[in-house]
Amino acid sequence: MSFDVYELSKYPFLDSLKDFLRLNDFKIEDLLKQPNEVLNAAIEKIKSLAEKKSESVYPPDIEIKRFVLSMYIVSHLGSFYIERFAERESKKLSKLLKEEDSEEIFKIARSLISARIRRIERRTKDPKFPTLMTYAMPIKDYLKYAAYLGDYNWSLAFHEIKGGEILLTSRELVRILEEAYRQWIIIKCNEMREIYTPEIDPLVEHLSKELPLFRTRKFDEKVVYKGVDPPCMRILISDLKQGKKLSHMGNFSLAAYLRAIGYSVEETLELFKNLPDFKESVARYQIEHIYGLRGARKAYSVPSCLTLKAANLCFPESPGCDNIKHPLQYLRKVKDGRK
Amino acid sequence: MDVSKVLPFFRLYYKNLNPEDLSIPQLDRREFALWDFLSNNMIRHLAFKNSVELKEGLSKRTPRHVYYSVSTYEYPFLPDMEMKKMISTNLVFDIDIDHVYTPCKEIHDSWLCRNCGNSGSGFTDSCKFCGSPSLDKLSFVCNECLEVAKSEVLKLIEDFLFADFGIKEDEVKIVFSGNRGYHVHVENEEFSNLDSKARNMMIDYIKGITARHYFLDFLKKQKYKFKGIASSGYPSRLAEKILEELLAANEHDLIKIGISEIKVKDLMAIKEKIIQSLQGYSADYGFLRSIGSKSKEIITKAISDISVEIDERVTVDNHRLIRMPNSIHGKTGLRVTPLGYNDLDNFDPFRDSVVFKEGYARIKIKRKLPSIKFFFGDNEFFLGSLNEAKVPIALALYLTLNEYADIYELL
Ligand code: SF4
Ligand SMILES: [Zn+2]
Ligand SMILES: [Zn+2]
Repeated sequence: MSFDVYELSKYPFLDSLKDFLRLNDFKIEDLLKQPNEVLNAAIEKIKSLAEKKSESVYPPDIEIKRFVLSMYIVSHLGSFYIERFAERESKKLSKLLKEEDSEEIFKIARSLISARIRRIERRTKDPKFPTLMTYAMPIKDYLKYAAYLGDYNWSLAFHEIKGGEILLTSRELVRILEEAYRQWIIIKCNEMREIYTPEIDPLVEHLSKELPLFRTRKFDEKVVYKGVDPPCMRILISDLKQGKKLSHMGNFSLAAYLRAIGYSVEETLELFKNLPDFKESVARYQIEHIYGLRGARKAYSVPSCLTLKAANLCFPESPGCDNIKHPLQYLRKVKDGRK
Repeated sequence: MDVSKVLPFFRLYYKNLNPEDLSIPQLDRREFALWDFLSNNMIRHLAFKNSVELKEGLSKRTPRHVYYSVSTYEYPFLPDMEMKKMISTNLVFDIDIDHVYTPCKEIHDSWLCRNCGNSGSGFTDSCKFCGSPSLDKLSFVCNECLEVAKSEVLKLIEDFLFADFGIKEDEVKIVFSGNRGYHVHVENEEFSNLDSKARNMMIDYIKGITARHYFLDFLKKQKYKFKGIASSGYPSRLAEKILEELLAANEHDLIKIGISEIKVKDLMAIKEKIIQSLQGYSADYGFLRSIGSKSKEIITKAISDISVEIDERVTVDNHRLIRMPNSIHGKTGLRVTPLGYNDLDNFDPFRDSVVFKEGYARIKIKRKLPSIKFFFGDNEFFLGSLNEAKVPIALALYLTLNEYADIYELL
């Protein structure tokens, strides 16, 4: 059996991973037992998540083992680390893919998403680019990933769809792959979480002392409108509490909403600390902007249901969401209903 | 309503029901809910092993309405949604004529604003005077209404489910809801596994929400280049509609909708070019730029024409209950009728879903009916003159269960 170890080290989700691990007699327990190069490299990778440092690069075979081992450790550190890990690795993937030719992108798409993806070559009238590569992806796969991108450009209406397939440009495909990889890592981590080795306990204990703790509790105590947040906001809050990443529109809408129901900048910031790509200075700046403390000094209002719908953030429930145009109307309605 | 006059019909129906008509996929994994006639309560979290047991349960309890869950569960009988442990959720679409504009509503529907007290006729979501959404509505479902609903179903199935999503004919089950519209069940495993975010995206597409609000922005960003009729799917249907509108409009119309004379002249000069471009694979929408704000109207109209008004809550909410095919709709006495795609053309809901065909009753009208002709069963009735009339039992039940009339004598 032959495969490209260098390629696998860049794209460790490829099908050849299993063979590589088997061939190299890879065992998580063994690697955790005593200090070794792979373990050190994995710990470094995980620490760099919290420290915003870039990680050093190792020879391909160490890189692959390090990747798998750090996924295992991260999965035992909990969902906040899983989300951050997935976020960073998937960003790395799209950077790498921008340098690849269509052959490689195609191969990766088939491995990561579905073997049913097809490549179609189209002639164009442009003499500089006489042919154009498009990709046909099963619509249900597209929905699974595009639904998390939250920008109207991903709307099905702006694409060509036929017989269960959607046509994508190579740039679009790369963005979808980034999301697919993010979800792949999260799924794999959740699977690995179920695999227990006694050696992981001391390591996790040790690491959680060194790594910054991501607070999760704080928010519950502060809920003013407990149980009556409109469903769109309830989902954003719960995603955030689980350390999930929100779309731009999601971040913005939630911050504006929290302002509207009386959260201070600090309180809002506290909640946003759960974001996998959280950077305090950036987040503070943005929140203050939304609160009208910066720039035009005008607070932003909560977007309308229509805007939220277009960003795929609306999950209406009856009767609260019936005949309303704005999430704050939901609050009034539900409150009135309780009196 | 005098329950004792209507209940026996339901009892008889469920007693004679053939269990084979209750072939629900994965029946034993679903929650059933029955609306009790006497207590007016919903009994939930029932589960049945098979269609024979289900039939027995129904004939024992004689419910007014029967629902089952669109999701399947590990433990469908547990009262807590979390504990039920969801397995998967069918993709179901609901087309309810209540949410769709039809011209006939001008004749048979009216509303009263709870906020300002004004009233009006026809279809609206909010008061035409003060804009308030809290309205008391009086609506009737006429023959034409359900024809419109049917054409929406066809649009949903043919354009979106078959052509776009590649769903096969035998994976689609259409059900007349027994009252105001249709349910479309998709029995395809890949689509059953989509989460609510993905479903939301489908719905947005089918209803044309994002398209309606962002198509122009999108065009601007693409420098007014987008796919034309020779492409496929939505872009192609949209280009076709826009072309249709352009072809239908003459200079005079364009001036009338507010485009300046000079601009109309310019447009007319390049009309042939526009048509050609729209017909191609890539189209140039640059002409929209020159007609300014009117382009929004043209696009909104075109998008509304190719979209389908579905009730998104039914599709997104995975704890939804949906009416069981071959049960009786407790507000109409009509059968919740399952149909194949090929049956739809000839299906007339007010004729083909009538269950109780023998006998007559005398009715008293207690709520005003619209003055229209109504085809029901095999006959035509004038609704304005039914007071004290002797009518076929099915119509009597229809009007009684709907609170329009009371049966005072069974004949
Ligand atoms: S209808 Fe409005 S309030 Fe309700 S979920 Fe959608 S966006 Fe939120
Ligand atoms: Zn009013
Ligand atoms: Zn009508």
